Amino acid sequence: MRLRVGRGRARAELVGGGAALWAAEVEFASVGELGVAVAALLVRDDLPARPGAVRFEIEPPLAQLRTLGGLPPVRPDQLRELVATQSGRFFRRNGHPLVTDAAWTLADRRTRGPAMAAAVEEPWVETLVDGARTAGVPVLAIEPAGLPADVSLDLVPPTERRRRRAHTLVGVRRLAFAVAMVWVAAGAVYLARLSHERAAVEREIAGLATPVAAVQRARRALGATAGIVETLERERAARGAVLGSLAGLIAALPDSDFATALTLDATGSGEVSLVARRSSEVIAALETSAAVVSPRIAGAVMRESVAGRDRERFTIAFGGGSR
Amino acid sequence: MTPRDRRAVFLGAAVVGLAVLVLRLAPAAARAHAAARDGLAARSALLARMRADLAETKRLEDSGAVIRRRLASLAPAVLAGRSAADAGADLASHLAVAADRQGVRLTRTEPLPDSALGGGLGRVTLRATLESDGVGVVGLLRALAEADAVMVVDAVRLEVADPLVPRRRPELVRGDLTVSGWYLERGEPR
Repeated sequence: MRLRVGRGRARAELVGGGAALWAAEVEFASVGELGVAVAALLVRDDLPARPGAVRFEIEPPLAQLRTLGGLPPVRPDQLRELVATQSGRFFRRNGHPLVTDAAWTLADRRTRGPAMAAAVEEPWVETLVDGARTAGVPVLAIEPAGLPADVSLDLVPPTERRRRRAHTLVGVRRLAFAVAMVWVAAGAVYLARLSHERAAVEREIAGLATPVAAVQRARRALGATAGIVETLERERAARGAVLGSLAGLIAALPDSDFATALTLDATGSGEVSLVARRSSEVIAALETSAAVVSPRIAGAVMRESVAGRDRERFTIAFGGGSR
Repeated sequence: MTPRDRRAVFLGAAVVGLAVLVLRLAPAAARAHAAARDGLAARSALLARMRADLAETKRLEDSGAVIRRRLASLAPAVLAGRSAADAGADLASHLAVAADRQGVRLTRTEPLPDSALGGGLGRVTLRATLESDGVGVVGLLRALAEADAVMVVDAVRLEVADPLVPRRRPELVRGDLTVSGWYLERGEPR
């Protein structure tokens, strides 16, 4: 709703969709009557709808609108402060404190123009705010009539500004408290979930402990049994090694040769002492047959003559090392 | 107290509270959270391993049946006795029987120290001094290699009388064997 206040007359218009839906006008003789008139306008029975908020426009001479040149180039808030503290310099006073506001205009898109300032006696705006509060309609703005479109001035009285600031602060505090509570709740939910998961895991661990211990005992027993089987099978496979080496050695030696001593172990290493016609022939025979690994003469080869035959007495080592 | 003073007190208290929150409470909470999370992860990992163990039950049963059958078939391969002394006596007995059947004379048997272990089995080792001819020695080695009980000849040392020296007696082989066998160290495997 827009409520235009002039000298002795207030006109209310309910605007919707860009068109005026309803209008009414009242007259008043004093500041006190204005408050009652405003409250009455805002709760009229013939209103098509209850207004969501009201915007006051104050016409001259109640509102004083000035274009101020020659002011220092200060920030907008500093400009407001400057005009407020020197309101007597820019506006006439009739013994009442003034509510002021000021803003910079734009000469063009980039250049700052002169300042525009407005003032209204505080009792008038206080009365407007009281009237709106009596009617239960929030005040959207209080601005002087005839403002250019690119300038916005708000003549809300200090009490209303404090009330709005306090209201905003309360809102911010409530929001902050709500956010903090949300975080606390989220943390609590997270901790509860963590605790619940831990408890569930512990329950399951406790439930599985006995069967798992049995499985682990069975696995250890199985491992020991497998070790026994493996050892016996390995030994069974290896137990013919010496016999095999001996058989291979006997088969490889020429029939005319005589063995006088033999040492042999399960790794295939050992020595054999021989009396033969030629040691080289025996080495060749052993290498050809592959009965033993890396046969070699160990020590000296002694030549003898037995019954008119030449013989050699020698020792052959084989396998990993000589003894 | 003026509003300015109240604002200063409030701001100071807020800064102190924020500092306590950021420097003390938040790190402590982060540490506690990390510990709780790590603890949960560790317990979850343990639970996963336990589940995996349980899932192995069927495989363990199958493996156990196979191994038990193999062990049963290998039962005669183990020497009798639950101690090294008993097993050594059994090994000596097996050796004596085999030697007797092959016409080999054992002049002496002595146990050798042996501390080898293998999957619940203990090993005993004997050294036997023998006299025979070549055929007897080979027969004894063959008999040991083919016996039900697993007896492993670890080493053999043989000496034959010099063949170039004329003699009246038949060929004589002297020497010794080192033989080992296995026994159940802790009784029957379970």
